[in-house]
Amino acid sequence: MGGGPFVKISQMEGIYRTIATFREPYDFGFFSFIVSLFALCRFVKLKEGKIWSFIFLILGFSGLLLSTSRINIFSLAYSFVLLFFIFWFIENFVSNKNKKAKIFIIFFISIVIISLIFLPYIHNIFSQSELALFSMRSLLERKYVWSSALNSFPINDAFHFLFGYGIGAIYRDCTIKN
Amino acid sequence: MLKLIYFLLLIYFFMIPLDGIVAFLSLKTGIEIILGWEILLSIMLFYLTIVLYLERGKIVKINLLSTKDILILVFYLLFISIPLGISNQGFWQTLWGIKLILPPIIILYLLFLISPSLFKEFVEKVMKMYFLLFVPIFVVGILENIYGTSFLTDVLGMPYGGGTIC
Repeated sequence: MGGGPFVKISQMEGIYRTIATFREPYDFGFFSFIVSLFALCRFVKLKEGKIWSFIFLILGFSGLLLSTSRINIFSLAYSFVLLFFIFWFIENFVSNKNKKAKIFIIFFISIVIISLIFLPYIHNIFSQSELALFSMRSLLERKYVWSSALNSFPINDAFHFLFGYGIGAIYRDCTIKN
Repeated sequence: MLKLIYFLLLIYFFMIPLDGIVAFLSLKTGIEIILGWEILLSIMLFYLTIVLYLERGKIVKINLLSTKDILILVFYLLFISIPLGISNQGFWQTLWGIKLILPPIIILYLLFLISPSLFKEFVEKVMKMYFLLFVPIFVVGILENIYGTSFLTDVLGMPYGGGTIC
């Protein structure tokens, strides 16, 4: 924002990070993720148009790989597992009694597993390559951004920690950073 | 009135995949107009999986059709978030935040409250619109990979600024 014109090429271990009509590889990855998930839901649940849903699922997944956005690839894998449990396992193998509670338990367990993956010592297993979900470069860049955010919005202030900084705070932070 | 809201929301969702181009055309402001799109899409995905496909209006004692929820949200915004924003960021900054982020979220929620069937139709329309939009966007992505250069900056000559963390 606000900078002069320059060529925008972003690579990860020699792989071009596609942005298409978006500003960032993450945005293109997120859009591909949304299209994939829409297509997956339609493919599983709707009886008509299954071929088209499958085609868009493949296209969406290809877009996701082109974006190289690791968190969106990870999110789609998570959605696959979750939807598999909800649509197939629960519908076929779990009785109607307390079905809602069981769906909630699956959501809860899956979030606990995801949280465990983000524990610092597990990072080391995955962070050997730049392509990995927790690559060192990615973590260092995030550390820089999060440090700036924490400087702008310190969490040791109990009042603001509870009630936030109010509407407009995120925009101001972006302006400062840029 | 409802049709106008419906039409405006469709335009908003149509603009999202053209984020980079919109940002260029309106320079700085275009980027901020798109703020909140992940929240909106997440609300839609939540609705899609929980309400539309599981055919349930309730999950874990949270009723999506309860007016109590929207009243709590309005109370929080009016008496906590907006005054805090004004004291921390100033009046114009807060007004900017309200103008850009809140209207589409509130309109989306109201459309859902007023007419759940119209909302269902809206979600289906957005899905189909995104499938159609994805084809040319995907082609642009393939071309970018073939030429190893950005379509927006190098082919169309659009200026670009910002970080690259994903």
